[in-house]
This record gives sequence, structure tokens and C-alpha cells, in this order.
Amino acid sequence: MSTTTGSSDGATAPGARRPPTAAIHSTEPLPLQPEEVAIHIQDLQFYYDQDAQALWDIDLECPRHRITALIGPSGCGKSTLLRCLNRMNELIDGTRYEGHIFLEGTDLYGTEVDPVALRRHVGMVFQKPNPFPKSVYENVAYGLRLHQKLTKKELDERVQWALEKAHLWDEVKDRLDDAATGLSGGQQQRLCIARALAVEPKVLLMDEPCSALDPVATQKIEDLMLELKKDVTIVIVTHSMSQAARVSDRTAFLYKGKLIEAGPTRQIFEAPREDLTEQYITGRFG
Amino acid sequence: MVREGFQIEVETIDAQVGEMATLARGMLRDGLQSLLDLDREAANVVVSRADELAQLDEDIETNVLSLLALQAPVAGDLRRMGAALKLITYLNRIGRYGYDIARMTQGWTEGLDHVARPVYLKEMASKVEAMLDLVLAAFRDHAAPDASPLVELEDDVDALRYSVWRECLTYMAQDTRHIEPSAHYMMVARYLERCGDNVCKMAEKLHYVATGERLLLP
Repeated sequence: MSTTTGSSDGATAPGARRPPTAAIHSTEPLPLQPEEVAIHIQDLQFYYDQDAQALWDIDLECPRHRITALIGPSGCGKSTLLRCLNRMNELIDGTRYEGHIFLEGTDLYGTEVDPVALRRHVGMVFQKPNPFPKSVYENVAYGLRLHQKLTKKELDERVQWALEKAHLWDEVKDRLDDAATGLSGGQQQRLCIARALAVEPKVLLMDEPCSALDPVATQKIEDLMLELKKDVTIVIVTHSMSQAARVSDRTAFLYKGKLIEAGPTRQIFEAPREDLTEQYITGRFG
Repeated sequence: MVREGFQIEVETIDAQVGEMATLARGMLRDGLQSLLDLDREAANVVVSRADELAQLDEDIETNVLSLLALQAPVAGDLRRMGAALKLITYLNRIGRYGYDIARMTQGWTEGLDHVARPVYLKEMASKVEAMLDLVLAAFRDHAAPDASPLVELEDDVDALRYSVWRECLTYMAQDTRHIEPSAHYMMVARYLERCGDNVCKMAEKLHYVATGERLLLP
């Protein structure tokens, strides 16, 4: 048979029968190389208290300078998993974990790791913008002052750099002393991103960062994420299938606290391996 | 939560593709029969169905594009809708070959008879129809078509095309009055062979829909 539908003559010469075999081009994704991996979650179990296990046997790799999307129905554990990555869950009494999470080879739950220092390397942006009740400038400068001793000039430069990185500088440069709470929702969210970026984290965690924003503000955040991944590794929790498909490089699907499937986003949305994944992303349950 | 509206739209498109397949298959079968019988009335009927074929092609494309734009299907739904766009192209070609054969009947010189009974053409058409039936059953069942019988049938069709070609060369060498009908037979054999190719391409697309794996038939 001809492999094209053009005008080529696809007939086989008489007597030259081909074997009735067919070539299958596997779409099995290539595994990540060890040097590509920024975050390596190994056999993670997480409990909110003795009897309430929230995550089971999670093994997941997030590649460096890429966006990994965590998807799944409400209550599946994706936000819990995200908060494991900067030890935010420890702020809740009674929680405990088993397993390992490595960030660039360092076990985040190692005894030598200071959770506060860790959160400098692993920034987080939440569902609703949560600017401090301070000026635009102070929102960005606050974390810098905590972590580093900078001169006024250096601080000004770093604030401008972070606001530019967050695509906010042009909109706020003339009102840096105004209250951050006076900004629009989208601007407040970009301010929170600037605040996280100011301390130059290795990883940025985003927990449904666009769920409270209109489509225009959402588009700005998504464009920003695509640019930021050149500098940071991003892990995002989203309920929007289309957002995960648009912005992420890899997607992990969680269901009832278990990782069902993870792989390149294109493969997950075009040809998922697991029936559960297919049923969820096609809207047949959830 | 099941997206009922979406599911209804997918099923509507499936039904339209099935309808187009039935039409294209019928046009090919009836077009060839009109030539074998030199029946102009039957040829006129086939030619008159071309508009319906074109309309279905356009309607299905419109519906699929609308569904892609408004419902953003993913995974198996996305593969099925992508395949639908390809299937209608192949089905349109198959139907159009039936139309072309019917046009040949319409233009057949008055009083000119067949050189001999073109049995190979009939046999080729039967095998192409058998291939089409295999593939359409897979489409209905949301399954991957069985490649082995398809490839065997396709090889038979290819071999028969050469039989027609050799036979026609003999006829044309025997008598110049055989040149016109023989040229038609060779053209029809070529059309039927291309129909077989189109059915195999449909099988490859349906394999991808069902499994997510790309298949390339030999």
C-alpha cells in the first residue's frame, strides 16, 4: 500500500507479496534523564492525623525549568502534595509524612534543612492574591529585608527587577507607595509573584493562581509563567484542564491521594495510558 | 459528571461519518455496476449523489471544527474528532471514484460493447468493499481494525490491478477497437487500487483512535 494519499503508484508488483505485518510507532514517552530532574518525590505518604492518610506512594519527578501541572478532582491531594514541596503542611498540627522529597539532590525533610530558609528557595503563590497591607514597594521589599542585607539602592534595584519580571513594573512604577490592596486582582496576583521572585527562588509553587482572575488577567499570568520557567522550576495546581494543557510541559493526574499517571502534557491530553486519566480529562467524572 | 451535550454532539458526528461511509461505499459499488452493465440510468443516479457526498463532507467538517472550538475535546475524544476530519477526506475520495466511474459510463461510446466480461474489476471492487466493511465495523465498535486481513486484501487488490493491466495490453494489441474500453478498464483498476489505499489509511487512523499508538501498514 502507498503510505501517501497523493498520486504515487502504491501497487505492489505481482508475486511480490508483502508480509501482513504493520509497524507501530510507540508514543511511549521517554523517561526523564536524572540531570533534568529538579524535584524528585520518592514513595511519599502523607497523613493529616493518625488515621487520615491523604497521599499514598507518590513517586514523581519535576524537570528543571519546566512547568509541571498537578490535576485531579477536588480532594484528590494535589494541593497537599504541592504544600509538601515547601513543608507548608508542617504548620498544621498532627501532620506527618513518610518518604523523601529531593530538591536538587537535597532531602527537603532532612534534619539539617530549616523550613523557613527552604521557603526562600521554594516560593509559593496562592489561589487568592494575598498582598500584605502595605505599599506596593514594601510588599516586594519585605522578604528581601528578611533574608538579605541590601543598601537602599540595591533594594530599589531588586524591587524594580522583581516587578519587571512579574510584568507589573510599567503599571505600578508611578505608584510604588500606594497601598497594594488598591491594585486589581490580576495586578495583586502578579505582585505576589514578584514578591516570591524577589528572593530568587529555585522553585515556584502555584496553587490555582488564576482561579480568582478574569480571562485577561489569567492570560497575563500564563504568559508570565511561560517566561518565568527560564529561571525557575514551576509546579502548578489547576482545576482548568485547558490551562494545564496550555502552559505545562508535564502533567500529573492524582485521584484519591494516589498518582495515577504522569507524563508529557501532550501525551496525557492526547493519548493517556490510564482509563481513569482519560475519564477525568474528558469530563466523564470529577 | 458526564458531558451529555458533548456526548450527543460526538455521537451525531459519528452517525454522519457512518452515513457518509454508506453513501461513498454505495457510489463506488453502483458506479462500477453501471459500467459493467453499461447502464446510463444507473450512472445518472450515482452522479446525482455527488452533491450529497460534498454536503456531508462539509457538514461533518463544520460540526467537528465547532466541537473542537467550543468543547476542547481531549484524549480519546480528540483523537476521534481528528480522525473524523481525515476519514471524511478518504471517504470523499472513495465516493468520488465511484462518481468518476459513473461518468465513464455516461461517456461510453454508443454501441461500443465490452471487450470481455471485466471480471477482475468486479473482484477488485468486492475486495475493496470487504476492506471498507472491516474498517467501518471497527469505527462503529470504537476498536482498532485487524491489520492482517486488510493487508492481505490490499495485496490482492494490487495484484488484480496488474492482472487487469496485462489483460488490457493484450486486448489493445489484438485490435485497435479495444483501446478505448481497455483504457477505461485500466483507469477503473487504478481507481479501485487507490480506494484500497484510502481504506488502509482509514485503518491507520482508527488504530490511533483506539490505542493512541501510531500504526503504519506495510
